[in-house]
Amino acid sequence: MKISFLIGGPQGRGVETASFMFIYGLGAAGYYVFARREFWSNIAGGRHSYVVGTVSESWPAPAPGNSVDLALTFDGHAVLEHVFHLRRGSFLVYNTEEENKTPDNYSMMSKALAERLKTFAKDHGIEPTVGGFVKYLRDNGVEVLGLPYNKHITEIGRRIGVTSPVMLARFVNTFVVALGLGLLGLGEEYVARGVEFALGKKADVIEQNRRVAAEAMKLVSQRITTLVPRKVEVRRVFWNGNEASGYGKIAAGIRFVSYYPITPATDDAMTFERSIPFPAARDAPELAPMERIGAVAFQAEDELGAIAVATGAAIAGARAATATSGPGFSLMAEALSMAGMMEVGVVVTLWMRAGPSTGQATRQAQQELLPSIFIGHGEYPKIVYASGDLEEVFLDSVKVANWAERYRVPVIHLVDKNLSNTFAVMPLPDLNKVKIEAVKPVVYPEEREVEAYPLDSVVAPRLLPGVSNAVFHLNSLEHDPEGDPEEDPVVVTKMFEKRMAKLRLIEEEIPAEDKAMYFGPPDAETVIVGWGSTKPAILTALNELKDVGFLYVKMLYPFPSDLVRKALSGRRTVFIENNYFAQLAMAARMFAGVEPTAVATKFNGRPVTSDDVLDAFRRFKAGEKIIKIETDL
Amino acid sequence: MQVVKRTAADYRWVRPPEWCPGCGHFGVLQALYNAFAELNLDPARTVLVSGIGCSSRLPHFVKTISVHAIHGRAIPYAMGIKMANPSLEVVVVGGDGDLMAIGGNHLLHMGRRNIDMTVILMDNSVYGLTRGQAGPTLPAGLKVKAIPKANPQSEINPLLLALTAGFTFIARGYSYDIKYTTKLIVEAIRHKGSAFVQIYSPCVTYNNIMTREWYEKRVYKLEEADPTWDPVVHDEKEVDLKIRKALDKIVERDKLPLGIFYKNELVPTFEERYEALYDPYYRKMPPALQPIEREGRPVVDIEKLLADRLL
Repeated sequence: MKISFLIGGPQGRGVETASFMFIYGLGAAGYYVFARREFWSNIAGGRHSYVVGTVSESWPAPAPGNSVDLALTFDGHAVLEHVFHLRRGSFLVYNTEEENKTPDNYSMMSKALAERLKTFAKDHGIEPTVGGFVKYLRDNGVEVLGLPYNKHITEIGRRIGVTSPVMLARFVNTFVVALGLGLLGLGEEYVARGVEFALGKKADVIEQNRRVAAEAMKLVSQRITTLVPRKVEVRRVFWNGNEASGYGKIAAGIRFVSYYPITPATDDAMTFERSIPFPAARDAPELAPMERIGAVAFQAEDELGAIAVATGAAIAGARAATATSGPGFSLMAEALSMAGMMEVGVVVTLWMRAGPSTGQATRQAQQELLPSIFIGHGEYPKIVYASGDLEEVFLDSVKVANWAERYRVPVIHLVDKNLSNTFAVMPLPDLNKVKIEAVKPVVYPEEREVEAYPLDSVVAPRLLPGVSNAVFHLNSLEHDPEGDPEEDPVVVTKMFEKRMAKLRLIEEEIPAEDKAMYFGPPDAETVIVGWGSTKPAILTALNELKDVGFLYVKMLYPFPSDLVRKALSGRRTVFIENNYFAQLAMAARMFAGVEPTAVATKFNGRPVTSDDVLDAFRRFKAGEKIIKIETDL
Repeated sequence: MQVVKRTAADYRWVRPPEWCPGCGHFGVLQALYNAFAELNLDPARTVLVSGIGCSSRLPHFVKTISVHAIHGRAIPYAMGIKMANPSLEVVVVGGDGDLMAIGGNHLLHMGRRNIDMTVILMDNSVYGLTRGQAGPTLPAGLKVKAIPKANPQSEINPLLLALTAGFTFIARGYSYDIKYTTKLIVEAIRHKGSAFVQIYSPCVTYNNIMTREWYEKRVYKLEEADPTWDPVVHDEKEVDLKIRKALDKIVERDKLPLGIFYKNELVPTFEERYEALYDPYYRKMPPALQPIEREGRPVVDIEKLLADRLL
């Protein structure tokens, strides 16, 4: 069972709230939901935004494709935005009160889309109005439920004693969600559960919305399917990627998070900040008499400050991280080089968004793979590690924090906008997999001067100010083992090699299964290669692509060269990526000597979908070597 | 427990300073040794943080923990250290280029946080390490020897900036008066809140105008000129008055007053605010000193943390 859906409307008018209600309602009925949000880089203003996702009885729920089974629209603009995301058998819910509007009536519609719609209407003999496009869709096998929303809502309001226009406007969310859940065969109690989650636990609010939902559901005579409420034994969680990362940091023992506000990273740090103080595990008597565990969340003056305070906190001995996106990451370059030189373990969670420059702050891209590997001047060791789904985002947060402390290098945790705005009702990750590998600091019985960079170890014993009784010097200048400036060529060579030896240690110690995963038949002739948040889309497509393998790379630096070379030798490869250069393909060529057979790239600000993967593969079979994906859902 | 009483010599690191003979920075270094000895700071609990420049080399010559960081960022590195473990004594040293130009933004924002830390500005109005370009405190119209024409940019008044940024301790010293500078550094470190000490520290190699002679014609001590001088805010009601009095002195140009201009310990520190607003255990169990795991398991109850997200 799989149903795909879309909820779309003017940004800032409740589409997100409605989506939460819809998704949580489905979760409450015992289903899994995998959805993502698409929106403009504005707060309100009426630009079109939507949530697209799938509902499933099992996890992982399939990744969305390029069309949906059910489209719930708030206004005519939304209908026009999604004309090409509906197909024979899809179901459209829309407001008949806007049937006469044309693309030009929606001032917030992108001019380019308005032109495309008008041209399409002209070419296909369609009247260029909402009503005209609905007729076109209906003629092409799309089922439609058209209702005069405001008329019904006013009538429902009258019936339950609400006449204030402000209040009635708020009912639109509930009304639309109720039509949607009604079409899926669920009752008004699931709308009420969604309301409770999205709007709070006030009994009168919930009851009022439950009645609106009940009335709205009476208007629905059709059914797309009949979802039977299920009892689920598995512990499930409803969260998004930013939250999975923020909670992951807390689980990882990170106690210091700095940030400078930037989309789409801020909600990661805000999740951490909102949760302070954290609840203590009952079996943590060493924290007695504390029942809550403190931490510092710190809003810095800029990203230069954000990375510096996090690095400072790590020097003092806290597990520390900062969360940022492309523009902020660029500013952090010099400080990352310093963390490598000074040998400080600090985590940067990099929420990639579509660049270059300010680019598209709220849109998807994977453009920072090579920039992450090479960020900062000079040569220094670091780790670059990517996550591809919400479970990984959570559990990898623990791994990267362990590695930062263990190897004392900067660790860049690569995630992206697609993950940040993925909303899922999914199984709670196995908390037994949360393993903190702490490095105990050295404590001398009395004060002494200590070499911070002794030559007899790759990673020096951990010295903490105020804890170790040690006096030591840390230096961004090339230095001797004592941390004093040194430019003697013999010492410089030794110190350089000592730092770089960490890379080999990292390669040796981190297990292969953390570096890359292979899916599909072991002897597949063709292997799709990908990284990051394209993973669910590729895995979903793999169900239909028999005899095709998928090499999913997580460790990007130090690059798992042997592993990748072995996995790909003698096979045909298609690298699928959300960027222009096909950066993983470039890395594979550079570090593993792998020459890709073909690359498929999508760089229009939208994620790679499962349909994109299928289509790219078809084109690959037809002989295309450089495949540009241009779909837009 | 036996209390060790340290002397200034106890704070000398293995190697001698490597500045030009006669450099003002020697005086600052000696004053710092003296101040640390007077306060008997524990070298293993004291962290000196610097950025880049001649003055930022100072931590290399001091036997405390030190972090010689990158250009302009000494303050945020120091703040991170202090916030993660507020029990440490954290002192930033740097030049006018490092703290007022490339790092100016951090100085502004440290002030408004009033984090309990000291910043020592070693001010010589030139970029010594790159051979004498104009520093941000070099007055307009002066032509020091390395620049081809007179300085077309006006100077920053560091104390004016620090005061408006919110620093709650503002002082100025002169490096060749080591005894007086020692006293100011001691007071700055003792101060509860963000302390800023500007020390005129002439560059003998590149600043051929603002020399020892130039300064000695101009500097005077606030309390010597006015025996009733009292920069301390004793009561909330005095804040405006004391700020005005400090401003009057800070903006003097022909004569350059030395001393403590302003001191207000009634403003809560960042540490106090954070404890009150976010984390009641903050100073008792700060981020750097917390146990985070037990046999590899987190000490945070993750399910409880996620309670309102679980279905």
